[in-house]
Formats: sequence, C-alpha cells, structure tokens
Amino acid sequence: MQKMTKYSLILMLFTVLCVSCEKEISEEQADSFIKFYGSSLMDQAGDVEVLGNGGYAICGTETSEAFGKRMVLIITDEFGNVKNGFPKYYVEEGLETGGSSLIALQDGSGGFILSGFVERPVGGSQAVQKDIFIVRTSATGEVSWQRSYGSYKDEQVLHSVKMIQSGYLLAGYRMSDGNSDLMVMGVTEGGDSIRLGFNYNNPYARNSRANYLLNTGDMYLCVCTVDKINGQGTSILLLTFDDELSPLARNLSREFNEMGMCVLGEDDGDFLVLGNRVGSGGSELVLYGIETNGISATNSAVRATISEPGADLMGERIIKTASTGMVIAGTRRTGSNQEILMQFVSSSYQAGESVGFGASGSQTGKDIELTGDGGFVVLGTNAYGESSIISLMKTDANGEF
Amino acid sequence: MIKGLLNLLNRLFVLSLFFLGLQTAAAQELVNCTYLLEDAKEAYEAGMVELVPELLLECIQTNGLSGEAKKEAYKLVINSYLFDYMSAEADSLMDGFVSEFPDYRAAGSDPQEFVTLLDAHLLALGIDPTQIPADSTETARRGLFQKFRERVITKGAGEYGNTLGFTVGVPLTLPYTLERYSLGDPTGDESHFGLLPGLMGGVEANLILRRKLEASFGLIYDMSRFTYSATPVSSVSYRYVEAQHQVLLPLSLFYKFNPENRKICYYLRGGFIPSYLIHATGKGTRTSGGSQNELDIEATEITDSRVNLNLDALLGFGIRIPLNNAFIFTEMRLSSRLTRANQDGTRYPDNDLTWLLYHVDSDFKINKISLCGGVCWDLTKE
Repeated sequence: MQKMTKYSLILMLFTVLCVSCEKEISEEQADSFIKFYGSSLMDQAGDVEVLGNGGYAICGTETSEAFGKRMVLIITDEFGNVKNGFPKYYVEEGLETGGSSLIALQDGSGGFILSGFVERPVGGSQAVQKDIFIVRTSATGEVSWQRSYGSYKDEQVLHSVKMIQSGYLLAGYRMSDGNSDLMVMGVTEGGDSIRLGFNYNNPYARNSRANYLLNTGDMYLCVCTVDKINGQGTSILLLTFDDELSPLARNLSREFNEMGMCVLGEDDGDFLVLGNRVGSGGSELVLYGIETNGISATNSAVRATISEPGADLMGERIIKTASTGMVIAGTRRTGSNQEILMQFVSSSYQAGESVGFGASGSQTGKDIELTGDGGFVVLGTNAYGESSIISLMKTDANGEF
Repeated sequence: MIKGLLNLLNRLFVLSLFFLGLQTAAAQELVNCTYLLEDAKEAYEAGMVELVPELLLECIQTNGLSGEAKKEAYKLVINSYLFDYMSAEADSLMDGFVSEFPDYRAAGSDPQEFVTLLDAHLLALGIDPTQIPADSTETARRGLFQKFRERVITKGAGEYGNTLGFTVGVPLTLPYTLERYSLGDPTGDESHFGLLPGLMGGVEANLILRRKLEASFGLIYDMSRFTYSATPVSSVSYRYVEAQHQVLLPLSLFYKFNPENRKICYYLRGGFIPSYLIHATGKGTRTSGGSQNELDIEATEITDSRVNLNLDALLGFGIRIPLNNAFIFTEMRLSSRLTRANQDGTRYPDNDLTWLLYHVDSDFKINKISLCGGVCWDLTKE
C-alpha cells in the first residue's frame, strides 16, 4: 500500500511537470513583432500611423475573390493584433477601391482620413478609370463621409496631410494615355474639393508624380518626381507653398536620374529630401539638404549618397530616430529578391547600420513610424508569386527584434 | 506388460495417497506436514514430480516443517522443479533454501542440477561452496544466518550483474505551448502541436547498486519530429514540421520489482536526461484560399533558434526478459523538458519560414513518449 502511494506520488509529480498552463500574452510581445494582415491575394500596404493609445492604424488595399479590391482600415493594439470591429472596408457602390494614405486626426475625434482610388468601369469596354477616393471615419471606423473626385483621366493619391488652416491636402499623380503628371489637390473638412492654383503641365511628363507632403505649420513641402526634357530620365522637384496653394518649384537633380520620395524637417528652415538615384551601377539613396526662406527654397546640396555593391537601394520614407540620427525605410533588391530595408543615418549624414528583413519572395518597405518606446514600426507588402499580403514589423531602436 | 500394470497400480496408490493427503492437509492444516513429506517422497520416487510442490510448498512457506525435515522438503521441491524444467521456480525457491540453510553444502547424493544451482546461489552470496563451515554448532550457524540476513545483497543467484547493451526506439514528441505567438493574432490563431514518430538508438550501461536498484548511463542519438499547425490569417493556414537531432545522456536509477524472477522482471526508471541539440530544421506547407494555393517551404536550418543544452526529467516503466547471459527489455519512457526549447532573440529569423510560411515560434517545452527496447549483456557472467 505504501509502495503504491509512493509510485502514485511520483506519477502525479511527473504529470504536473508535463502539463503546465499556457500563459496569457505577455507585455514583451509588444516590444517586437511581425504581423501579417489581409487575405494573401493581391493586398497592398498603404500607410501606417502610431496612435496615442500605443496601437497602430494601417490603411491599404485588400483583395478577396468575392469582393475584389477594397480600401481597408486596420486598427491594432500595441501588440499589432487587430482590434475587435476591424478591419473595416470602404467601397463606393460596389466598385473596387484601394487605400494608399492615412491621416490620424488630431481633433479629438480619434477619426481617420483615408485616401486612395476607386475604379470605375468605362462603358462598353473592359477598361477601368481610376478616380480619387476619400473616406472620413470615426475612431471605430464608421464612415462620416466619403467622396470621389476625378476626370476622364486616371487619378491616384499617394500621400495626404492635414492642411494648415482646415481641410486635407492630397498629392499623387494624374495619368493620361499612359503618361503620368503631378497632381496636388485639397479638400475641405466636409470633403468638398478646393481649387488648386498649381498647374505644372510638363509636356514631357511620363512618370511624374507628387510623392510626399510635409506640413511644417506655416508652409507645405511637396517632394515630386518630374520628367526631364526630351525623356532624359527624371529629377527630384521640391514644391513649396502655403494655403494659397501657389507653389514655388526647385529642381534638385542635375545630370542624375533621380526620384523624389520624402522630406524631413530638420532645424528651423532646414529640410532633408530623400531621393533614389538610378545609375549604371543600380539604385542608391540620395539625401539633399534644403535651406528655406519663407516658402522659398534658397539653397540645396547633396548631403549623402548611400549605396551597396550588388544591390539596389530604394528609399520610401525617412524619419528621425529617438536619438539624434535618422532612419530610411525602403526596399533592398538583390537579383530577383527584395527585402525591406532600414538604413540608419547619423546626424552628420554618415550611413550607419542597415538592416534587411525578408527571404525568398518580395518584401517592399512602404512606411515607417517612430514608436513611443523609441523603436519603429515598418509597414510593407510581402509578395510571392501572384499573391501578396500586408506586413507590419515592430523593432527596437536598432531595427532588431 | 505386468511391469507396466504394476507401475500403474503403484501410481494409482500414490495418487490416492495424494488426495488423501490433500484432504488431510485441508482438515488438519499444518499438523500433518510430516505425513505430506512422506507422501511427497513416495510421489517423487514414483516419478510423479509434478505433485511434490503441491504437497510441500505450503508446509515450507508456513513453517509447517523444521530442521532436517524442512531441508529435505526444500530439496524435494527444488529437485522436482528442476526435473520438470521449471528453472525459474527452482531458482526462486533456492533463494529461500540458502537463506535458511546457509551452511548446507552439496552432498554426493544430490542431483547435479541441484548442486549447480546451490553453488551458484552460494557464490552469489560470496560463500565458497567448497568450504565446509568450520563451526557448525548452533551458535555459529545462527551467526552465519545473522550475517546472511545483514548482507547487502546486490545480486541473487541467476540474476544479472552489471550489463551493457544497446537500445533502439521510437520517440513521439509532443511539445506544449507556454506562451502563444503568431504572425496573426495569437488569441484567434487556432494553432496546435502534433505528434510525429522519430528514431533513437544508442548504448546503455547498467550498474548494480543493490539487488533491486541499478544506476544506468546512456549515450543515445535521438531524432525527434513534431508538427505545428496554425491559421495566422483567416485565409492562410500552414503546417510546420520540425526535426531535431540530439545527443542524449540519460542518467537514471532502476527499481526492479522482482529481480529474482527468471521469466519477466518489471522495473521503474527515474532520472534526468541532459542533452545537446546538434541540428534542427523546419519545413512546411502554406495553404491559402482553401486548398487551391499551396506553397512548400523546404527544410531550413533553425538550430540557432533552439536552446542547445537541455535537461529533461525521465520516468520509465519496462520489463526485462532474461536470456542466456543477457536480457532483452522493452520500455515506455516519458520525458519532460525542464528548460524552454526555443530562443527568445531569434524568434523572427530572416528566412522563408517567417516570410513565406508565416510561422513564428511560440514559447514551448517538449514532452516525449518513447517506446524503446534493446538487449543488454551481463558483464559479470562467464
């Protein structure tokens, strides 16, 4: 009997050893993560914002077999897990839509402005025409209003910001006969379009686009890619303007074939423009320092070029780190593979560590934001073959998990 | 013909005596053990050896006999067992005989099989069977008996000493989740581990500590496999298969329930398994949009994502079946990892498992159920 008790005790102890309770999600899971969102068909990342509660807001395009492409808003908690009630999809009368830019409103409503495109079928053909599609939502993603704007041409929004006074400013491109040209337009708080006084009308426009807007509080800077005369590549064009919407233009590139991607405010009146320079050796990152006086860009100079042998580096966004440096998010392409790139840059514009994320397949870095703990969230698109999905990475201050 | 008839009558007579004896024993219990001994002698001489244990065992076990009569009863039953090729029973009873009569030495009239078994038992107890006890007085006999009782017996006659052998087996690995991670939402990710058979084999040495206790040391190669299925995103699920190649150094103690049994010996094993992970790989298949779109990820090196030095608690239950100078065994082992199996810092490696399969390690430990068997040879037997 005693022996039986002894052996039973041993067995019970071993059973306890073997079977332990699963822990709840620990706080450490918020420190670093990789998350995927979407349906893994043809999803595209658009924009990410860090929310005041530590969570994240993502906009993009999700594709499903049943509904086709839809503009999507995903709100997550600080762990990157989708909150109840999300994702929310926004369409116009059953038409296919997509999202590329997101503004997290700072008016106390907790709402969002999503902008992208809506595709309208052209009567009597298989073709579709893209118009601008804007949705204002509440904090819970309910639609406050939604509008679409367009012409007989294709319009697409790439970036948007809150305007200095009121309303929202949109940057993108307008495409006609396969050629794209700059497009910048404003809409009121209620969603009505504001007539823009800017008309670039480049007769050589082929791949021109307004890529990024920065609201400094008293002026806007718009970084664009414009076509050179006679199709000799593209240049970086910096537009500066205020709510009058009468821009001054400064061409940064000279003999180089470059594309403007993003602009970052430095000290008073100084800015840093991120571009991609394409040469015979591939693509490299280029940083231009800009000095301004009022709304006029008075001086510009190359601060740094960053390249990597055997790889194409393509920057998309640049932000300040929690310390004194900067970090560029984008894509590194080696052969047929693409990975998300985080390229650190010191305050003296020296290239620092670069971190790549990805393996086989194609990862594209789309946006980056600084988080409350000094780390970063990087939004991207993870593609393989004909399928793609939205990815969000949370890293520490060194770009590591 | 007449001889045969006489033999038959003789048997019938002895048989009738036997039944009479049984009835008597039942009625008068142990009072008549002396008569039963006489009956048993007659049965033995008549060649009806199978009746002898039934006549005398109870008398021996309940001390219904004593002194020379008991000694004679022991010898009759042991010889009957040996005659009937019941060596395990003979071996077991010889234990009792030697413990009660440690100064008995084989006589010229004892059958050779009896002599061999007796000598083996005496040798196992460290007594020289050729040495006649110098002082066979009652006091000396009691002293020897006392000494016998106090001896730490590590090995009975016919039992095994230190052994060395090999073991092979099939481990079934069943990890369990400590904290769930997912590239989707871990609370909605319907993930679970699954069993897959592996393979193990190696050498094992068993060292006798006491008669019922052995220490065991092993060196075992172990290839364990398991699966992990998850649905990180609503339209995407995957099945991940991991293979771990390890060297195990099991250190354990055996407790043998019946070491004297020559047919089957049951034992319990407990101990620890320090192990070193040599190599680990992961592969899998991702399915999206139903089953129409499958993507296979080839085996990918993940050794850096695993803890290399591990420690498991071990519990086992098995049986040993004796052979000549060896035994075969089969055992069910349960082991539970005391340390976590995955590394924290390499949870999101830059490989296809993360970016194409959408797999991420949850924090997990590993339990194993192994069915193994093998052969061990007695190093002390000639």
